[in-house]
Amino acid sequence: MNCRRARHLLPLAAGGDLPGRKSGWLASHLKKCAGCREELRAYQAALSEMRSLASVEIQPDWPESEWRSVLKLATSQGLEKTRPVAGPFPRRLAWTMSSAIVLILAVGSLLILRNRAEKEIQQPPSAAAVAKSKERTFSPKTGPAPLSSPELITPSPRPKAEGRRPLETEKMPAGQALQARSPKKQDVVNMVFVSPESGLTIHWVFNSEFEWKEK
Amino acid sequence: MELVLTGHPEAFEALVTPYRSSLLGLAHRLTGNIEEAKEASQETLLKAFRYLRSFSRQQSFKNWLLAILVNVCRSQFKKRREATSLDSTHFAADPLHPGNPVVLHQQKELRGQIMDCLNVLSRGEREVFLLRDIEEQTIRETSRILGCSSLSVRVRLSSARRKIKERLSPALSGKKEIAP
Repeated sequence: MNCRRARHLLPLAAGGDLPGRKSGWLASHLKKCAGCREELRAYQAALSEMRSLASVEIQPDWPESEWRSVLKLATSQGLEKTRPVAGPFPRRLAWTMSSAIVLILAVGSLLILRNRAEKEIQQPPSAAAVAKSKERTFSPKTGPAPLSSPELITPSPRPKAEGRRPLETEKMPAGQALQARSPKKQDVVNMVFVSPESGLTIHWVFNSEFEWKEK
Repeated sequence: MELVLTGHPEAFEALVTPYRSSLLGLAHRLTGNIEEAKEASQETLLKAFRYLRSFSRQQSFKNWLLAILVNVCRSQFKKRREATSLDSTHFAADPLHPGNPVVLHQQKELRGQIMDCLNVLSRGEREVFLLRDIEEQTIRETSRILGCSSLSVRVRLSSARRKIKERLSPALSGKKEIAP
């Protein structure tokens, strides 16, 4: 045990309120550490000073007439059955009950969510849902109605690795390639890049919100 | 107690008289004001009589009274939280000890010293410190009276003793220097 931990325990040790095991650890530390011993003595001195002051002080007492009237007032009322003070047990019981309810609700909602997720995984999405999701993916947030032309979003067929004729977009600089496919401003632009060495095909689809920034 | 419960309210006096001074004393230290202490003690006695049937024989009667007193003091504290603060000057006009003025002056000083120390504690620390270190209840009994866990009592007690030590250390070191 180090001094920092020992000093944390000293206030309780001064009044003999440390549990046995901790008390043993502290005792073994105090044998070695003079500083902590001194600190413990200071705590004990303060505590005994306070106790002696309190014992010397004369406790206030009721004047006899006042005491009589208080008793008369107390006994003039009826007896009741209910409990005036919520002791530790009912309070603890209430806490236990409320935490149990919260726990049950949490576990229940977790199970429901899990079941729902499993069902969603098992059921394949309907065609309408797929179409809707595609529409949502490519539709711009503002502006004209979404373009649902299949040829724009369908990947172009993979060209042969040898003797391939380069695409029009590959010949042009990147800034012009966006506008090359149509003179009009398009909502969706589909770009395909093919690596001649490996045959790797990359499809890029940009919607109308795409802003090109040339570096 | 059986007499009171079977319709002899006059027996209540014999039941509570042994604690009349300690109840008022604890209330005085908890509230810091003799008038409020009297009020709290009176409320405690009223509640004790009214709810005597609910007293469990397994518990000590004194501790049951103390538990009611602590709760009454707490509710009083809540009521006057914003209105007044704890103030040891109330003790100057203490009407409970008429007699020798020298003794009265000594008592006033003594009470002022105690209240100076208690004033550095929070309400929770003060309750725990008074019950454990002044009333000499055990940690378990203190936790039952206050309606909290033993761990909570230990934490508050530790903090209270640290503050009391810091408050008294200069005076105690001064005494040590004078003693040799």
